[in-house]
Amino acid sequence: MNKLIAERLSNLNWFNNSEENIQETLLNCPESFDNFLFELSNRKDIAGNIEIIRLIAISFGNHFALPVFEVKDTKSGKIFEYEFIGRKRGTKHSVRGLVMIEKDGELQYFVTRKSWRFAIDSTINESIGSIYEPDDNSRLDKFKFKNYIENALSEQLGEEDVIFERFYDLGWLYPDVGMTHHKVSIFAAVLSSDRIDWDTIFTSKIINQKNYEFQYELIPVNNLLSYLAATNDSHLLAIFGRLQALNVIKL
Amino acid sequence: MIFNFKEKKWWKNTNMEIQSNIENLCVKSSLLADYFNSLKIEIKKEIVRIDSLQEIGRLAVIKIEYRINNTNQVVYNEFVIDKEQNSSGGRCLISLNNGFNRQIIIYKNESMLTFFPDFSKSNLCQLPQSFVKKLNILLNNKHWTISKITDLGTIVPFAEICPIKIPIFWVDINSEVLIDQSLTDKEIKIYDYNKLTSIGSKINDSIALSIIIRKHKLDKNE
Repeated sequence: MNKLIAERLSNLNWFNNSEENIQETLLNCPESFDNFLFELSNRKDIAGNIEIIRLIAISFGNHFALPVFEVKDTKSGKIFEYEFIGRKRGTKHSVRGLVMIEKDGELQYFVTRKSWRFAIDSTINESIGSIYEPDDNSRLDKFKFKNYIENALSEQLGEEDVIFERFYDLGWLYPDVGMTHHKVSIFAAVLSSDRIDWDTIFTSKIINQKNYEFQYELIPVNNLLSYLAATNDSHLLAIFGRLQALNVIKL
Repeated sequence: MIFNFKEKKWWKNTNMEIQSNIENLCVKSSLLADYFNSLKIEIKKEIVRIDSLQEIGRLAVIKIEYRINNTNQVVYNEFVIDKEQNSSGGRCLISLNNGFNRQIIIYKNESMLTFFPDFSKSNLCQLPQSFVKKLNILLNNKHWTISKITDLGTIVPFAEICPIKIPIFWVDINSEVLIDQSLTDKEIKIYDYNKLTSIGSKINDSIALSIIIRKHKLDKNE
């Protein structure tokens, strides 16, 4: 483990109150979990009315960490446990988005994905993804973020000419704060089919970059209302919700 | 409950201790039992065995070994389950209607906006007691009643890590009075119903955003 992280942890009461074997498990966890551990070392002993007493259990998988904390509600004095699913890359793990294709200045299609997902053991109609969260420097600069997404899609599609006509940084969202610390960056972007036939390019690919397979789908703009019932990916629904709120699309 | 998965080849390849732990979990969680009963062999992949099961608190991480048929590559995939979620708790947002105007109530803070309606006691929706107490104070103990619950389908908040599907709905409350916005605090935010779609720029909870867009879709259809 990174020495800085170990030092930060040693300054925390909740860490020092944890049993030795728990401390050792944390200090000896795989290096790939350093981002998660760094964020854990940012957890103050007291946040709002919750005091973290100690870490009572922690488990590491290939990608996930499951910490269980003993905490106290300082208002009621009640002691109970809190736990969540952490990811090894930390809270900011991935980017999700929506691509729109226009022709002659008119929106024609929304581009989404049909993916097979192991956890749910079925296919899901979902947002564009398989893109890691960029570093803070790229994320906070809208131009750099746009370039980053263009490059990520270029790599996925095997096409060099991914240049967005318009790009919308839609901020962040939490998929499920009751279960995970994960925070997802979301975006929307417009590609023009005036010179490049993006319709055919997207629909001709089957992608498998991270051990799960997906295909892009084109949703005609006029079918959006019915598609909102067909997709149950909360990221995608949230992206549509945010685009609607910003008047980028209208139902 | 019948565990059909015990006939499957991948089950027989799984370590006996893991088998025992999975069986115990499936006895407690029908959600997990359904998952394993329906775990099927894909055309391009073969499930070899359950590689590990780590239980921690109310969560468990399950790692599955599978083989890609055309390359023979062995891959591991893992997901997380909530052992205590025997059925997926629903989430909802709430609107208040006094016959003239309508408000949307966003409770707690921006990142925890939804509720877990409880249908267990009767067929009626039981809102959490903490919210009911708060609402009574804000409505000055005037009469209110749940007039309608709209089913907005299900969503999957996190398909890559967890098999949970969450039913979402909208709860309409009829009330003699609306909430005076000057009385609201950090726990409660109020919006006019006609601002339904614009709230999407103010909240970061994907479940709440999903509820809003599905509700708006329904309103458009009506």
